[in-house]
Amino acid sequence: MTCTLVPVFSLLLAGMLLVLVPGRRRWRRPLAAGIMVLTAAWLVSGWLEGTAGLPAAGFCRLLQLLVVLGGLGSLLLGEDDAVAPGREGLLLLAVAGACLVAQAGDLLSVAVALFACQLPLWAMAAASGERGREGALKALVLGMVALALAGAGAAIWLAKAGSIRLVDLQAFLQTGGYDPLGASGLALWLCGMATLLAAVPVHMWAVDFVEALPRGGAIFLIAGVMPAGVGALARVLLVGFGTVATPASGAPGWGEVLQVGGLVGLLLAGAVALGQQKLRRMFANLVAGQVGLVMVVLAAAGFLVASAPQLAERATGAVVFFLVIHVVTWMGLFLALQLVESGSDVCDISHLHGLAGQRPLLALVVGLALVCVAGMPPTAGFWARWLLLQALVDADLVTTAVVVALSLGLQLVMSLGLVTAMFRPGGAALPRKPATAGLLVVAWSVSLAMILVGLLPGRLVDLCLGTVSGLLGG
Amino acid sequence: MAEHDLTVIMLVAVPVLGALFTSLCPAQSRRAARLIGLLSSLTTLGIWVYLRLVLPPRGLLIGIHATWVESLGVSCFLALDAPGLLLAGLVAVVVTAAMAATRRQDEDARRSVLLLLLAEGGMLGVVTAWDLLLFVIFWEVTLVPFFFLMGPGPERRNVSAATRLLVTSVSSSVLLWVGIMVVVVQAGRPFTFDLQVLGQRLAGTGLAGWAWLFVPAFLMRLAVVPLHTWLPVAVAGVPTSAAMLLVGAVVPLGGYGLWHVLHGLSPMHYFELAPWLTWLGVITALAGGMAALVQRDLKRLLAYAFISQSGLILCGLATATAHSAVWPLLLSMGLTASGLFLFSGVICAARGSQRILDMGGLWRSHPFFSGLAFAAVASVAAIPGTLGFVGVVGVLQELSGKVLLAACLAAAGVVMAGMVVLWAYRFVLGGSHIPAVWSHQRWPLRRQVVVLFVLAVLLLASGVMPGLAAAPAAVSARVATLVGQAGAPR
Repeated sequence: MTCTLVPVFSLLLAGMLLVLVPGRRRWRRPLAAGIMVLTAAWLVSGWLEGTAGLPAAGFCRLLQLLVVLGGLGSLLLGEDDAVAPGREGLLLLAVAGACLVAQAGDLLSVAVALFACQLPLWAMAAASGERGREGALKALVLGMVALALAGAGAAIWLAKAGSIRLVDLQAFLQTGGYDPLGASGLALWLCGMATLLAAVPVHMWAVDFVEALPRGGAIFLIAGVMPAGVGALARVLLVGFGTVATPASGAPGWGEVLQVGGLVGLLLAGAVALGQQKLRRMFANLVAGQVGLVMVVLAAAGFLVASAPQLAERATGAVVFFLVIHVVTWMGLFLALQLVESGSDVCDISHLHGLAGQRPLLALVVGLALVCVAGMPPTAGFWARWLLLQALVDADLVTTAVVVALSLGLQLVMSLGLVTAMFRPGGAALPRKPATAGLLVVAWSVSLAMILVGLLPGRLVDLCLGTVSGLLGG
Repeated sequence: MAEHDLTVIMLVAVPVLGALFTSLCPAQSRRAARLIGLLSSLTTLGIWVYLRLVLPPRGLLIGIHATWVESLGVSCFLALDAPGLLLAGLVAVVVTAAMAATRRQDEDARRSVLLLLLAEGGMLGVVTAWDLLLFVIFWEVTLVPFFFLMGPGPERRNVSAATRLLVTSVSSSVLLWVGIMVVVVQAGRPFTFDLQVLGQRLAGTGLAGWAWLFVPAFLMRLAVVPLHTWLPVAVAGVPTSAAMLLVGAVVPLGGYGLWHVLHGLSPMHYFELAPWLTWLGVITALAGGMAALVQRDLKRLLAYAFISQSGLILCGLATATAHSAVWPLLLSMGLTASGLFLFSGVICAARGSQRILDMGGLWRSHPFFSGLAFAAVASVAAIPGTLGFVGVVGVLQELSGKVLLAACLAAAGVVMAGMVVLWAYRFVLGGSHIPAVWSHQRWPLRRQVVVLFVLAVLLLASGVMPGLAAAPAAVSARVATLVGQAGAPR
């Protein structure tokens, strides 16, 4: 068991050292990056060998790998952030927490880990100025409320089932222990998780928080915490509560709730994102919409768990593939912020004007990421959407699938609006920032990944589907 | 009967490779970029001529049919049937004409050539794609070069027109994409995007409600009323090459796409849709003709005249047993639009205005160049001896056999548009020539005259010998096959 926590502990230890031990920024950054690279290598090697003792090893390891890559990207893209003491250490602590989220195996530890991994980000925001403190306070208060709700839900299930471990809950529910009290416990837990994951309508804290965070922290919140949280939510709902997505007992199931909530979130957040002028607020709303999209697909997977576990696993694999692409794409999108943000200025769309003229290649990467996030073929984002839509169709949610597909129009208009902005005249006064090594590494890796997966998605799709093989007994 | 020929792939690959080579040219070597562009487009045209000679008269010429992503049911399927071959020829001719005829752009010759070649590759991809996913990809790829040809870039030409085109095209792409996804899902597992397989699976069952979403996508590209508003704005403010390509190739491709996809998927339901398409076409023909009457801007007038022709094309596409007449009309529209937008682009640039009332006296100053444009004007007005006459009369004849009233109304619209274009042409040529108001630079360039001459010859030659612009046997064979499949018991 200890062996499976090596990544978490190593990142935790390194993070604490970097926070507590004073030192020059010159060596702290490479050190943090080196630790994350080593952790990623360890995860890959463990994954290839097959990790004993860890339930759903492939699924957890892939999520942890995504978290570490998200952390690495945020370190590289946040290179010229305003210096905050111990920022690298805080980031490592956040990465450790997010790795724990991916690995957590019971109701309470998932919520606590999701709360804990955001603590360093709150600290990071609070250290970055007045606006950061305000955003951090808002996020902290809502986070505590969310944790309390999730804790109350977990307590109800502890009282009912005698355990909150997923495997025990699964066994308990198979014997028919789901009733209105259990449903209310699950509802409380879901409310808490939805708040922590910034799902619509409890996502406004995240919009303010993303705006307030230093760039590195904002990237990690979107490309590290969100995938880990969504992965954990998927595992809890499908493994622990898979049989009660549509319970036969008459008590309300979580499937319809997630389906409707996710769909409303997807449309609402997409529409709100379209109306935003500030880039960070736009991005945050877009992520809230993506959380909604994943929730709809999780609902579809839930409908299939009992009747067709193989299809449910395929739907879960589609979510995993989407998360992989999500991380890569958001790195590309944050390149735009890296290129146009300076100091603590809040950038709006007009800051992108003239970017294509100044930095054609990097603008191309950002443009590719924008088309990818809108899910248009032949980008990697398209395959992710296609798999998600297939999952909806498998669950006979054809109308939902059509609505989801049409909602792509909102994102496409937004994405192409941003692409257009990059090619608009202006931006002459924009200071040309030097391309740092970190920026170039991220730019080339991201563009290579998007193009390769866009053209030849088969291997990665199979890999993602393979990670969930056997997770739901398919 | 299907035959394999790698030349079909080359048809798409040559412009793309040309674009690649152009992008590798140093920014200063404008001459090299133009040379590569011209060579690539001429090579593509040569390949098309070769294919025109070898295409089996009653079959499909397959370039490649290989699995792309097996687990997702996507294949790389490029092929040409007879209508596709005609459209490919149109694209090749129009792009070559645009490449050769546009003014030398001192600053961005390389960029223009690159974008024109990419647009050509995308459009030929649309024509050859028999996998619906590939079709959507090429459909979208086509848009990108147009956007940059029209709007953003060093010249800051007409950003609002480009943005309007972008929004229109994005809407059409989303609708197209959603419709295709519904079709793929409806056809059942294992999922496939292969048009032939989908057609076989859907034979007899028809399409689900949501699948019809892709009809407006094609109608938008074909500039059918009320989805036409992008076209007059776009052509009025874009460079000549972009206008030639937009009306000469992109709009006809909308019509081809409608027929290719919808007819390929479910011919029987396509026939059921025919009355609606017919009346929509009639409305478009009338509205385009009437709108052309009140235009003062030469390019907008031409745009509305071609919208009127789009309406007639839609009528032709809707009358399912009459495909042989609509293809000459599509070709006529493409060639005519290229010629007229080249002519109007040259004279508007020389005059520094697009107002018809500012023109005049061209017959005195440039009789040969103006005279050449008459072939295109005559084709729009469907004067006998031109390709336009063959197409318009053919479609009206077939339409009158179905719905006489529709044929009469559509004819009224198209004739009205033709008359307006003739009136504008007379206005541009007549009157006294005032040299002071025209550009003192040399215009038109020699190669622009040559291009207009070639286009005029093509319009007149295919008007006199209609067989050049049609492949009735092959088209009829495909219709018969598809109807047979649809009617066959499953």
